[in-house]
Amino acid sequence: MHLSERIEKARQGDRRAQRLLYDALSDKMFAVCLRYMGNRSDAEDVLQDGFVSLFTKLDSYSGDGSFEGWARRIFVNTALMHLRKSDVLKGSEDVDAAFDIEAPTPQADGDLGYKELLRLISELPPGFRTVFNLYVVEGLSHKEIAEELGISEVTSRSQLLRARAILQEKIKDLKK
Amino acid sequence: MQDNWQEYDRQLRSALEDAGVKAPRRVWRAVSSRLDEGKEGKGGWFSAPFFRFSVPVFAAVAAVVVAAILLKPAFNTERPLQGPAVAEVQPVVPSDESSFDAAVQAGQPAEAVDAEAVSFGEGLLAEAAVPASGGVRPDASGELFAAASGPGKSVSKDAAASGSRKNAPSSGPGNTGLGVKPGTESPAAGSERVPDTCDADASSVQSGFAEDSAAAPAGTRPAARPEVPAVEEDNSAIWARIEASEESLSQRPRLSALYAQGGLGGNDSNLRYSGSGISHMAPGGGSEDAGISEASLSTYGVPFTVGLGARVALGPKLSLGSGLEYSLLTRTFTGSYISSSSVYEGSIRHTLHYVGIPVNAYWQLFGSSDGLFSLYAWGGGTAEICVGNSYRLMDTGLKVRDAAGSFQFSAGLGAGVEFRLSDKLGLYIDPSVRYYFHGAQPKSLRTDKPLMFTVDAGLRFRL
Repeated sequence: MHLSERIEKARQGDRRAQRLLYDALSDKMFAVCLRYMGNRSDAEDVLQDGFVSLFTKLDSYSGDGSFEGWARRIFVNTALMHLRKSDVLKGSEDVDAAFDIEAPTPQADGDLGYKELLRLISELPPGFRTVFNLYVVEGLSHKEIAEELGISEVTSRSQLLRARAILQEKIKDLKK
Repeated sequence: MQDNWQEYDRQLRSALEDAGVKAPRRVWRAVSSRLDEGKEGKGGWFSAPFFRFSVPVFAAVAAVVVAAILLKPAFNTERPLQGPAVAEVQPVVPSDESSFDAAVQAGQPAEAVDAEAVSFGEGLLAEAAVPASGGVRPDASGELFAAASGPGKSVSKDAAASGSRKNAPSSGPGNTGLGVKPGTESPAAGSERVPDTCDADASSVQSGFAEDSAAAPAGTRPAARPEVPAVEEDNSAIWARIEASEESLSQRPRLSALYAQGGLGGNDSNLRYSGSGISHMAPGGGSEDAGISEASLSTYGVPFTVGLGARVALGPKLSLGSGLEYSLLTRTFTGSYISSSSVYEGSIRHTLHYVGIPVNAYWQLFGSSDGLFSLYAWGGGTAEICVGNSYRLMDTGLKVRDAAGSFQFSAGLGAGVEFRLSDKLGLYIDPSVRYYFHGAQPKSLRTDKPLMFTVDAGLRFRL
């Protein structure tokens, strides 16, 4: 059975087909949720909401392009929705964008595994974390991030810079 | 500086995009039950709430009707049986357990391992597979797909394996090192992200983020994803995971459910059988005439069984169940009891207690294990041991014990239907035919009518 048939069955509500899609996606998407939410309990909520949303929106998957990429966007959007709802992004606007910080230089982080990385990222303040995720991993531009989060482009840039600085600091600490 | 970050980000991204963290099992259950609730929203006669409440009611009614049909002869024949038989019907239906999700739940713990392995595997494929995240430039795409198509095209199961191989030289499973030289891991990745990509491709990426047009990037950037075959490539990674998960679902046995059940057996309208004149059934001692003699036909009580057990899923449709059960068999007759000191004549009740171990195989015929109901066939055998064998002299209340300890074997074949009451709970009814091998058993309905129609009902609790 092809992926498209499987998706079609899942769309019709076949629980087993849905379960297979869930199994194929859940671990990766849980990592995405963790990366945005910063803690397991919120990440679980997002994972759950994300899958409900995914299964109810299967109609809108055109069949072209990557299913996983399509799914990932649903989870990112769900995470952003949660973040917006809990107002954690608002606080990030308070960080004065004009405030100058020293631009960090990338460290060669040797053998940092993704688990370490996830942990370090989840320890970032929510605003920084969100911008960092959207820019670095999802590949959005500052302009898009600004629109997505309702902040200014300058804020987005400055938050990314700060996120990088904190991350580098943490990586340095980790290596000591 | 910018270039430094570019490369750095690329490595970060490739490490993070393939990251997988074992998602807790409760999430699927929550999702599954929310999807059910979603169906309710659509309303109508056959919406989920209607089913939810009608199912147990229907099941209970069905059980009562079946029991009534079975018991009817007993009501008609002789009095002593009515009481106990009816009283026992009630506990049967509500006091049991079931669950049908054997199949789908089945693979879970085992999959964990697979999923972990697999989620690492497709570094390369996944990288190519996420159009919105990468901002693939038209000129880079050729290379990208060339690189991706190798593992993707081959048997899709291989995608997982080949992916892990790709990671192997770097830092072994479980650790996609960030410091890994760019390129060893995914040659295409470097070209995927070019300094100005993010900003330049702003509009196309953004359109990918509007949820409803989530699949848009494919359309907005025709140059990057030119041909349809690319779609298959895109999805080969997830397809491989689905296959792996399906395989593990169907292959690994797993404890899937606990059940509690009760059953009634008894078949045709003639619950009275001959047997008068048999004597010396209980130790009398003293004289030759000592013991119990039957002077009338026996009236049998409806055999009653309760049990607890567990089910192990062996495949998507097949599961095996076993446990412990207790059965009660009664009959009454008019007879006499002679002992060294006294002679009794009158009504005598004979009671047998059996404890047994059933082993049954279940095969799902219809319905999904997560659905509202399912139909299945089952067959198996039961070994029981007689743990109590006694006669009560009704008029005096005196109890006379007889020898117990014999083994009783039986084979059963039946169908069953299970209604899902909640995420974890199911109610089932298993009508069946059971044959009791005689062995050296004390007289009972089983020895008189070895082929018996029985109905078990129970609750199954999914794990």
